[in-house]
Amino acid sequence: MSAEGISIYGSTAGIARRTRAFAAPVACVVAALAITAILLLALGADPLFAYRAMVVGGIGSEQAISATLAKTVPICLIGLGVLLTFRCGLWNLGGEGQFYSGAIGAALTGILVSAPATILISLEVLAGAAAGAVTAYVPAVLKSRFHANEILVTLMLNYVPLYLALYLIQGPFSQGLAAKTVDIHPAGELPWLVVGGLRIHAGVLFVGAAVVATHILVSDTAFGFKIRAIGSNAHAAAAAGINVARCQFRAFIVAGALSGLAGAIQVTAIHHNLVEGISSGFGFTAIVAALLGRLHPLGVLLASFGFAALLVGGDSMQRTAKIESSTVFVIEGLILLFLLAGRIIGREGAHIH
Amino acid sequence: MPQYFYESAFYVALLAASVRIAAPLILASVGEVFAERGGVLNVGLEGTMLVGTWAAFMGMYYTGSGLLGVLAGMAGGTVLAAGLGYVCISRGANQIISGIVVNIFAVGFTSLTYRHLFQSSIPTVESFAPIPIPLLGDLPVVGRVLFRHTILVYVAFLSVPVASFLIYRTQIGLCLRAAGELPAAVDTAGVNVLVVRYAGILACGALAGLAGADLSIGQLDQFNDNLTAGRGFIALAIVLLGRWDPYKVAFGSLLFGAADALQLRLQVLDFAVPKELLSIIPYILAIAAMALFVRKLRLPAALARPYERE
Repeated sequence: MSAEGISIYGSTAGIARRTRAFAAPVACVVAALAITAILLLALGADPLFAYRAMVVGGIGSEQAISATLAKTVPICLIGLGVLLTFRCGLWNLGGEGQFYSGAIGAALTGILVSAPATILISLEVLAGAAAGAVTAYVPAVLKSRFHANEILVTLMLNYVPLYLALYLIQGPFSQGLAAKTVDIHPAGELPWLVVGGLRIHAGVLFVGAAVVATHILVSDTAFGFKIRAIGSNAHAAAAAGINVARCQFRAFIVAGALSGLAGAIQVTAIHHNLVEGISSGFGFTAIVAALLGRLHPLGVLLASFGFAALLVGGDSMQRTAKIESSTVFVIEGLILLFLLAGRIIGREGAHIH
Repeated sequence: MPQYFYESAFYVALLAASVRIAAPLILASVGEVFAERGGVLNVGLEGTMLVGTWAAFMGMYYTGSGLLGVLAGMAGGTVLAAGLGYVCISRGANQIISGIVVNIFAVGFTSLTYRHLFQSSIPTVESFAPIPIPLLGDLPVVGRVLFRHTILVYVAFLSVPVASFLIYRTQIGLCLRAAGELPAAVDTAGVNVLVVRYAGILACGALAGLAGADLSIGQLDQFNDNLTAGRGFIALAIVLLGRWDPYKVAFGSLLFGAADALQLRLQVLDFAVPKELLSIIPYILAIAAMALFVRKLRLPAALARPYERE
């Protein structure tokens, strides 16, 4: 559509375009909420009651915002990794598995190693990031050496750390009846801080650092320049002498380390053990958060906060209004489908060849 | 070695289980062949199957009819695939992202509705009884392995030659393949590319829904959260490994069926390796196979590329 090209209407068209750019996503959210409301009505639940419980539980109090910030951490860290890989044309759908690996690495370190707090926490975080990186190494090396399709390898690889975690939970480190491992040493627990009325854990600091670091990495380094070049045209980048395979390989490893770090933080700050279902779909929510944040670090942070609020609100709704928290995945899915249908996101071409 | 490794009954039961477990993989991957041949990569196959398991269970639970359950499963898969088709085909959205979103929606929708309707109870339906084929079913070994299954297993195996015929020997199949290779040529021939691609994705939805029906009411008698447990993703890998050919895809499904049957049997028999680690085998196998056999792969040229007229 090129109807906006007429100069005398230029400014009005500009305003209209900007209004539309703002109004369209809002319309998608409203439509998704409306359809979910109809579904809830059909199930005999009161949607207004549900939504109120969700908003109050997600952002309605200092306690709620604290919980939402805590859940922003894993989504945003994994999302930043997704950002790096997507920016250089890699379909890394393995955040979920890399997260689980990180959780396993940190939990095993925290259980088996006994050391002073500073050392133990550093070891756990490093072990988590390393485990995530190792998990990303598999699709990375299969992609660069064997040209194996990373979409399918990462999707499939998600199940390996998942079952490994289940094994540890049921088997050697079982806590007994509960579906979780024994706790890590108390010295290995990540500290919590009280800032204003908010109670946040130290992992939030990692997120702040990771957002800034990712921004600098993408915008101001040679590596970031190469990533962007590959993302906009891999053939041109290769012709210009950029080693595409090597850059993609490195991006994959950094993404894995970020997801692994997220898993480590979730263990050391929140659960203090490895618990079944430690990721409530963080890996996939992070992918949509990265896209909704337009593959920009600050955008990813904001989108992650939004999805975290939705998840926390959903859990709270399940407790107070007795409506299943899986409602949030319906809402999330519908919002994204409408955004895709409305051509607001997802116009990136697919480099799957 | 445990004693059962030396008994023939173990292997007969194993092969029969392989065939049974392969059936939903065959249905889903043959469905995906239709979608991908037409140029649409359906990463939402996992979610489409999941909705199929859910719809089939609901259909059978509320009507008491197995046939209506199966039809509901197919309808469920088709509706979800239509949604994905609209977003990817009509609106040209990125197919991988759309697929992920479909998976997220499917998990949420099936879990919410099921749990809200049944709370903590686990309702069951009567799962399908095996139908031995006259004479063939009485054959030693072969009869047990191939000809004493439920109707859906036979349907799965029949879908392979039917799909192969449709894809390679009919005008529709030609259009479908062309829509995945050179959509502009289809357009030039006066055939609507979008309609052809919709046909592919809807067939995929119906077959994935049927695969789901086989899981929930064909083999089990109930629905669980996330019942498909990654089978849709395995089917995606099988399609790649089988190079978009129904027969090769069916062969791949049988291999994965065998791997899965083996690990399940070992779980039941309290084999030395813990069951959670045995569960990893099919995924490792799929990854290894992709690393070894997917080197010189030629994808349908227009796969995952939205069609827009010049």
